[in-house]
Amino acid sequence: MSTDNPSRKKIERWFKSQGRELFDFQVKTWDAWERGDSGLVHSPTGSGKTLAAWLGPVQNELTRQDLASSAAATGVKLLWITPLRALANDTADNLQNSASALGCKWTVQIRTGDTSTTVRQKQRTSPPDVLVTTPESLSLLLSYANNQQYFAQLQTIIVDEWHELLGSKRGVQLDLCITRLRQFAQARDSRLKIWALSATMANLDTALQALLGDAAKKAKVISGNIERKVFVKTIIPPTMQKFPWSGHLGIQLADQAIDVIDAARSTLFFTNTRSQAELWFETITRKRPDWLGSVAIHHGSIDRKIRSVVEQRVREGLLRCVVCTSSLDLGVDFSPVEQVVQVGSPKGIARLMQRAGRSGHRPGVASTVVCIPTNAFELVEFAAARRALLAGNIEERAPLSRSLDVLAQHLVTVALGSGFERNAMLDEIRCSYSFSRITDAEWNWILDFITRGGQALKGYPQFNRVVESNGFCRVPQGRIARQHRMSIGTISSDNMMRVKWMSGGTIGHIEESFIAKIKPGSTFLFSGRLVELVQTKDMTVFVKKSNKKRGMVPRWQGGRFPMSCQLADSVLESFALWKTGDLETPEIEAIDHLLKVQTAWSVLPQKGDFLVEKIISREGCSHFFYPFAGRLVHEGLGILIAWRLSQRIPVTLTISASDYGFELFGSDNIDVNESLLLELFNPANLLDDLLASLNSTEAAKRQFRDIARIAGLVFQGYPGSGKSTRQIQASSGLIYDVLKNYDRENLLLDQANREVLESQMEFKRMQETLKSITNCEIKLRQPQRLTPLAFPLWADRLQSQTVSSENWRQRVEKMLNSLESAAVETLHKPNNKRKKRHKQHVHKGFQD
Amino acid sequence: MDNKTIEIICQEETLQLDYRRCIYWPSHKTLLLADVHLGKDNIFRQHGMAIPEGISEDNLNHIRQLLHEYKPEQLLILGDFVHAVPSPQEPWISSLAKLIHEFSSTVFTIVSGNHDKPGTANRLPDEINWTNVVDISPFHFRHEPLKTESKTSDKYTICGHLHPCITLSMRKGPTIRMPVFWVSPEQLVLPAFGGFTGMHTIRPSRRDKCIGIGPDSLVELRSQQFTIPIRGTTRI
Repeated sequence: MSTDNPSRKKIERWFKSQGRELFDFQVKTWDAWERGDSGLVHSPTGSGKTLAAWLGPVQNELTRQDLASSAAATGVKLLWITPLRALANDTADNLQNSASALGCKWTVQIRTGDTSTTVRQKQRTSPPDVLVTTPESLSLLLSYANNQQYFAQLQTIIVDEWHELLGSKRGVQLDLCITRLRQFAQARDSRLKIWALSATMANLDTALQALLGDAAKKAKVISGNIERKVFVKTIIPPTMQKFPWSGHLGIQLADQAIDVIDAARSTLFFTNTRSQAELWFETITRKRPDWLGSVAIHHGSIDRKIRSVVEQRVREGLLRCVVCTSSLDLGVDFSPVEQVVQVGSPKGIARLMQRAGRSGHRPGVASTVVCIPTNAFELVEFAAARRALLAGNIEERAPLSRSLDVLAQHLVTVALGSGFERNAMLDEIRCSYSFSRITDAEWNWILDFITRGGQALKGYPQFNRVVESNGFCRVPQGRIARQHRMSIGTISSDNMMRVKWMSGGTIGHIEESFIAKIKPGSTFLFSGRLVELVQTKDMTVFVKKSNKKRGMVPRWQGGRFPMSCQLADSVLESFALWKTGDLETPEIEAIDHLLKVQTAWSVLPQKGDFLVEKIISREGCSHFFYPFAGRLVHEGLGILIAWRLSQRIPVTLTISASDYGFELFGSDNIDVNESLLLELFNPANLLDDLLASLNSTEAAKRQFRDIARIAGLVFQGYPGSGKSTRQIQASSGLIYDVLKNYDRENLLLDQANREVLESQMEFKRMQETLKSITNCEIKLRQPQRLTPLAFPLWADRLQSQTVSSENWRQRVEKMLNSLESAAVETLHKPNNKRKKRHKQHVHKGFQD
Repeated sequence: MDNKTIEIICQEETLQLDYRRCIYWPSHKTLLLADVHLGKDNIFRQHGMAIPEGISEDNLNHIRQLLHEYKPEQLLILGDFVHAVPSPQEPWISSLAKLIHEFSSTVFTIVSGNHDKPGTANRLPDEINWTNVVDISPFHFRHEPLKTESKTSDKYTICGHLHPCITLSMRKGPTIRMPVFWVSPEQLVLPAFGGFTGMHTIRPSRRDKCIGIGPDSLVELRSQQFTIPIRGTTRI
């Protein structure tokens, strides 16, 4: 249509001069933008999404420059939202370079949490044409009084990597901010063009709606149908007999891993946790001292300055290998990276694809990912992931709704910015996706919450936050305003302490809970080095280099992802294929003997089977259940079944869950037969029973942590101000207890329960699992010892929860007794005996 | 055995530890408690954090209940009675005055803590005796524990300030966290009395004894039960 446009010609010529292929989806996106449409562009990483979204507005500006004699009005014309502030620099450079190369006079600037106050000030008085920012910083911009004026020239919003934000509270926050900006545009009779860039996922239409709210009807999804080859290879342990049944480190395969790294020019070495990254980095540098300096470590707790140095060196091709976590899942163009290594289960197909895509970050180049198993069953998972990948079974990401904590924060932000009038604001937020169906009751409660502190009838005396006068809600400037601006955002940073060298210089951040457990003089591994704790002072941990050879590896809290439905189903399929004698993949062939042991001692479950194993040991009585529905569902089911059992008999049960199933462990023998099982797994009364059982655990209390912070119930203090805000700091757990005792009707408590159900336990998936179990054939077995499937659950009882119908006293006494005997045992045995026994247990199976 | 109270002998004196986080000292008819943090909820509300009211009132009612039962001659509060200097119109101040009036035969003594900033006394009823330390042989009462190196008293110290708690954990399985009375050979630390106070995990040594507090009873813990190695960490 507009191919005659001289500016378009210019862009096409530029593409040619750069040696870039011009894709159909890019042209489609430019045309759609020109027509004034909004939409979502999805295509594999590195296929040119950025230019697809960016050059539409640029083309328009080029045309305007050609025609107009005067300069454009000052003001932000385009907002570019990026999920990571680490990406902002590169994004801004890319945008600025391509615009300048085309002769577009736009200035691109960054506004993130890292932007200095002077630059912020400048941006307020003379705004750039294009602002690259994060959802949090955008929200902060809305908290300033003249924000409507500031965005008066805004035409386009582009949200990069939308799939990363979707499904999180950051996505909800962005949804609300964009709704506000749409409102501003409408007020000046204009319509914003809003574009999302996303990787491939199963529910693209929902993703579009979640960004555009009620404006999604006219928007469209544009897909770049570009084939991206992904090769999934696996390192097979040379002696499967000695390969553990459980575990998550995988260090046994270090030599093979080093060979893999050696074979390529540049490797991204992905681990699933930060501790794992620390361990692997230590192992690699110890085994290959000659690589010192060309291997680096990168994870979220390492100081941002150090991280950006590492990123820069990867980009320049100076590093042989970077051991990293999801901190490098996203973003910048790492074209020098030749291969990707994945340690441990990728948990989902989309994640494996995303990580694989970090190598060969160019259109048309195949990606290679080498998988390193950390335990035997992960071999099946790799094979299963490959099969699902080839079949194109990618997961979906579901957006959140009714996150009242985020709404509370947003309303205070808006009240602090331009202020709002009740009814107009309700109309506005109903245009968003997340709150399109908010009820009047919820709305009134949330308004009461921010203006009075609690329900209208009670009202907390002396509460001071949002003030309503003449129907207009505002935040008085001053302390509350400062405090709120400090707290904007939905990412929870759990009490992190800064780690500093005694000699000066920050190396990163570490959880307070870990430091609380160790004494000065203790050695731990951090940022790839063994350091000694010298002292802690005002939320800062001072360390010095340690000469010791050994130390502890901190365990950071942090989400362990559940295995996706798609991957779990694919694992069961792999089992079924194995039964039919299909050993075609090397992974399944390697694990053949293990599946045989499982079959011999118990049953290898298939779709349609529900396997339950009961094992009585010296410790007590364990039941292992295998619904294969992902760890979150299993945690929920574990709590539910334990609670239902505890209603029948007085008992204390410990629940541990994995992606395959869950274990209920109690010290006394419990008789479970098929009819009792059917009763326990009955889908009827699921919601009521779950809510009741939640009360008997700490799950809701833990979920409340984020909610309390986002809704402004806890204040984390001004950075660097040390102790001065101590008197208004309290743990969210304490506040949860206080609310439960003094304000039971608080909707945020309700939200905590709901979030536990929906996001922590995947309520829907759980419902479906229970329904499918009723149609399954129940296979109840009593193996003599822990089967290959049961062992990882037994070994992982650390991360467990308890449901009990016994009272506090009984529980404490039981615990004290077992602590007593554990203490006696450790006194009589040298420390490492225990570990060895543990190992023997594993390998016994193979000798049979 | 209901274990609602546990008697310990300390410096040849009998002390009665109560699960309601206080100590009764019968020979001197003195009731001891620490770290009430009255008005903490108000401070939070003034800073825009929506904490419900009623907590300070409840704390005072708990004190009232204890005074009824023990009928002490002296109530000795070991610091941090308030969370910050209260504003004159805070509702719990009048409730406190009423409470003091009700028990006119009981002497209210408060050892100033780090939260009891200068100016606090002026806002509270005049009947309260404010002091920095109290010495009643054989004990030395204060707010903050003494550091061993800067020991200024030869007497056995009884104090608060730390909000001590202990986490019981096995190498595997769940944990139980509970406030404790921390009894060491040199000093005794009371748990925080207030209903809106946090806890601080302590590291008792093997010579120490801890008495854990549950919802309706006390439990004695021995050192080997809480000096189990750290879990949740991998060693290299």
